[in-house]
Amino acid sequence: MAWQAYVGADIYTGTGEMVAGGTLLVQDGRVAAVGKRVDVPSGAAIIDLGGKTVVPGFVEAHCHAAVFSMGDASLELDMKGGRGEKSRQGPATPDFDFFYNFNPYHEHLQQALEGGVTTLMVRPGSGKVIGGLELVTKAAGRSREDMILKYPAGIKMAFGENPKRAFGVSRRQSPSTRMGVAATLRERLNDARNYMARQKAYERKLAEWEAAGRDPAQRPEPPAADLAMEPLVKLLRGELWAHIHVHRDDDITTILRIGDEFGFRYTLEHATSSFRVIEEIAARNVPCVVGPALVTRDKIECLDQGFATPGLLEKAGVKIAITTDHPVVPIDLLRLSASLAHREGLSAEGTLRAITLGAAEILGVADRVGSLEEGKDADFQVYDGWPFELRARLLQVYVGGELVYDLATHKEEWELHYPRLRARFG
Amino acid sequence: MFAITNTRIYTITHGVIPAGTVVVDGGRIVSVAPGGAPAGVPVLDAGGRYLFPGFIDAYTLLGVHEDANTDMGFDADEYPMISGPGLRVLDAVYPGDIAFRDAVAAGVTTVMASPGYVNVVGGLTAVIKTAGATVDDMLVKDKAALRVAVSGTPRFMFYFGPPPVDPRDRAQEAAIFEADLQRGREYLAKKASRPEDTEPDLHLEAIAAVLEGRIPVLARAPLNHDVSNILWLARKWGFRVLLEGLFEGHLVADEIAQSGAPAIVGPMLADRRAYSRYTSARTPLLLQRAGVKVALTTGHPTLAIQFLPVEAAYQVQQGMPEEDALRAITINPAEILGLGDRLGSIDAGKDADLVLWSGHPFDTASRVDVVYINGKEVYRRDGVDIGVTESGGAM
Repeated sequence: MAWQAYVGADIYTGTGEMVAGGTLLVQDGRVAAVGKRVDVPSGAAIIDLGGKTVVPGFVEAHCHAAVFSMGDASLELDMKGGRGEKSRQGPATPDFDFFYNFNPYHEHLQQALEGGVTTLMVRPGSGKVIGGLELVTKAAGRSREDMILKYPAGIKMAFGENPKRAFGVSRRQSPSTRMGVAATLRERLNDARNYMARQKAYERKLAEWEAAGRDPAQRPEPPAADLAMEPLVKLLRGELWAHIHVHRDDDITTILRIGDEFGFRYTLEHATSSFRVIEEIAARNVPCVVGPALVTRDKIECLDQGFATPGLLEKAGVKIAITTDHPVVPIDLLRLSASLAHREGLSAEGTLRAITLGAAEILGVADRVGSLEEGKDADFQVYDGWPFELRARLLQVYVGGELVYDLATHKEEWELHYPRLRARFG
Repeated sequence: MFAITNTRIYTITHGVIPAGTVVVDGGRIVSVAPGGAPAGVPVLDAGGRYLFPGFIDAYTLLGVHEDANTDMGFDADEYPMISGPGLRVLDAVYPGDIAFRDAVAAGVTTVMASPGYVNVVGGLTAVIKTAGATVDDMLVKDKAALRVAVSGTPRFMFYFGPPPVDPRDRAQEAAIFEADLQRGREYLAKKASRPEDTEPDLHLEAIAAVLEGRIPVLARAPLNHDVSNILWLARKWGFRVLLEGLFEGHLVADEIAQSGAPAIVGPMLADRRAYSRYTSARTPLLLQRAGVKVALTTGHPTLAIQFLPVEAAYQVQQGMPEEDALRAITINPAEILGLGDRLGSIDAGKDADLVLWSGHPFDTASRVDVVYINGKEVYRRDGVDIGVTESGGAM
C-alpha cells in the first residue's frame, strides 16, 4: 500500500468546498480522504504544499486532441472520416469510430498536461450531420487501455454551417441547407426506429416459433444487421448521448424539436447563441458545452461569440462546461478560457466547476474524475494562487497520484534540443 | 478641455502616480501630475479607477479580415498578384468591422493594419486608431511599412481557386522579393540619372521607399530561419526590418539583438505548436532578456484583438516583469511604429488615448470602463456612471 499525504494547501475539492490548509490523502492513485483533519497512516509520504492551492485536474469536454497532426494527410482524413468505403463518406456515419485514431503518445496530451488538463473528450469533427463515435481519456496512463475512461462515450453530430459547407458547398451534395441537415438526422433516426421495429418483430416471431414447436422449415429469418444503425439504436434506448455541434439559436430550437420528436439525450456543443433560447434549453435540462471564444468569429453563425455565454447559462440553471475545442484554441488554455468567462460573469465556483466536476458529469465520468472525493482518481494540480487569476502559475500536475508535470524541472522541447541556448537562458 | 482626476495613473514612461490628474485639451494630453484638478477645468472624477494609455497592437488584419464575414469580407491578400508592393491596406480597411468594437472595448486604441502573409510582397500597411467613421478619420500613419512574407507560406491552404500555386518554398519567395528589390534599385538609379525619362511606377515607388530607408519592411518570420533569411536580405539590400511572428525567436535571440531589429511577437495564445515543436511560451521574455525591443501582438484574427491585454498577462504568468509586459503593449509598439512621440504613454503632448480600468488589466476581475481616443469618449461599459462635472477645485 502506497500512501501520500499532501498537506498545508488550500484544497478546492471541485464539489464547491474549499478546505483551507487541508490534507489530501492518496492511496494507490486514488483519493483516500480530503479534509482539515485527516488521519495520516504512519509510513505515508508527507508532501508539504503550504501556501499553495490544489484543484482537481481539469476536464476538457470537447476536443480533437491526439488524433491528427498538422501535415499528416492520412490523419487529417481520419479526422474527417473520409477514408474507407463509400458508405463512410456520406453526411451520416454513426459507426465511424474515433477509437482507432486515438494515439496515446501524441504530443497534444503533453500539451494538455502542461495546462492541467487530465481528462479529455476526444471526438470527430463537425463536417457531418452524424460524425461518429467518441471517447473519453486520461491525458496520462500506463497504456491506452489504462487511459481510456469511457468508450464509446457518445455520438458526435453537427448542425448549421459546417455540414452545409462540407456537403452543399464543397461537394454539391445534400445537405446543402438547414432543412437538409435536419432531414438527414431525422431520416437516420427514423431508420434506426424502423431497424429496432424489425428487430422486435423478429424477436416476437422467434418467440412464437419457439412456442409452436421449433419447426426448422418455419424458422423466421433474422433481419439484416446494419453496424451503422447500432449506435443510433443505443442512442434511442438512452444508452448513449448525442453531442451536437451548434452555434445559432434557430439551429438550437431545431435540435430541441427533433429531440422532443425522437426522445434521446443530448448536449449542445459550442452553444454560441444559446442565451437567446435559454428558457427552452433550461426547461429540457439540456447541458451546454460552451466555447471556444478566444478566437475571432470565423463564421457568420458565430456572431454572438463571447465569454458572457457561460455566466448567462449558469444563471438560468443550465448545466455547463467550457471547452477550447483544441486545436481551435490550444488545450493548455482551458484554464485561461474559464478565467475569461469568470471575468464576464460566471461565478467563481461555477468557473472551477465548468472545467472539473461539471464537465465530468456531462461526459458521464464523474464516478472517476472531476472532484477530489474519496475513491476517485487522484488527478489534481498545484498552483501558486487561485487558478483563475491571470497571473497564477501552474506548478505541478498529478494523474492517478503520479507527478506528470513539474514546472521546476520541466523543459520545453527546444531546451532539450538546443543545450547551447539553454545554457544561455536557463 | 477636461481633467480626469482621482485616478491611479500608469504613465508607462515614468512610473505610477497613485492619485493624480490628467488634463486633456484638443485631443492631446496637456498635463499629468499627482493631486487634484486645476481650478476652472471640467472634471471627471474617476473614483479611484486605474488609468492606462490605450494599448497598441503593431500587427493585425483588423478591418481587412472582417470578423464573421471571412468570405466576402476578406481583403487582406491580393492573392493572384503574388507580389504587390503598391497595394495599400488603407483602401481595404472596413471601419464597420465588429472587431473594431471589440478592440475599443478591450482598451486597444491603435493598431497597425496590414496585408496578410499569403503574398510575397503584400502591400503597404497603415497605423490607425480603432474608432472613427472613416478610415481617413482613423489614420495615424499611412504607408507605415511594406508587408513582406518570405516564410514558406503554404498557399494552397488559403486559396481555393485555380492555381498559381507557386511560389512553394522560401527559395522561390526570396527570388521574387529580390527581383522586386533589383527593379526598385534600377528605378531609383534611373530616377537619379534621367528623371525626365522615368515614368512613375506605383509598385516600384514602394520598393524605392524601402531601399531608401523611408519605410521598414514588416517581415513575417514564424521560424528561426525566416528571421535569419530576412535579416540576411536586409543586410544585403540595406533596408530596415520589423520582425513579426517569431514562434522560434528565442532560438535566434542573439542574432536579432545584434541586428537591432525590433520584434512583434505572437500571438502566444494561439496554436503555436502548429508552426513548430520548438516554440516557447517564454519567447517574448527570452528576446527581451537578449536585448531585443519586444511588442506583443494578437496577429488578429489569429488571436482576437480584444485579448491583447491577456497576451501581456500571460507573459507575466510566464515570469515577465509586469512593467515590461505593459511596455510590450504600449510604448514599445509605439516606438517600433515610429510613433513614440505621439502614442504609447501618458505624457504631456501625446494623443489623449486613455483607458479607465476598474482595476489592473492583469487581474481577472478588471474591466474596461471608459475609453477615450483623441480625447473623445468612444466606449463606456454598461452601468459605469462617472461623468464630467463643471469644474474642479484646486487642491
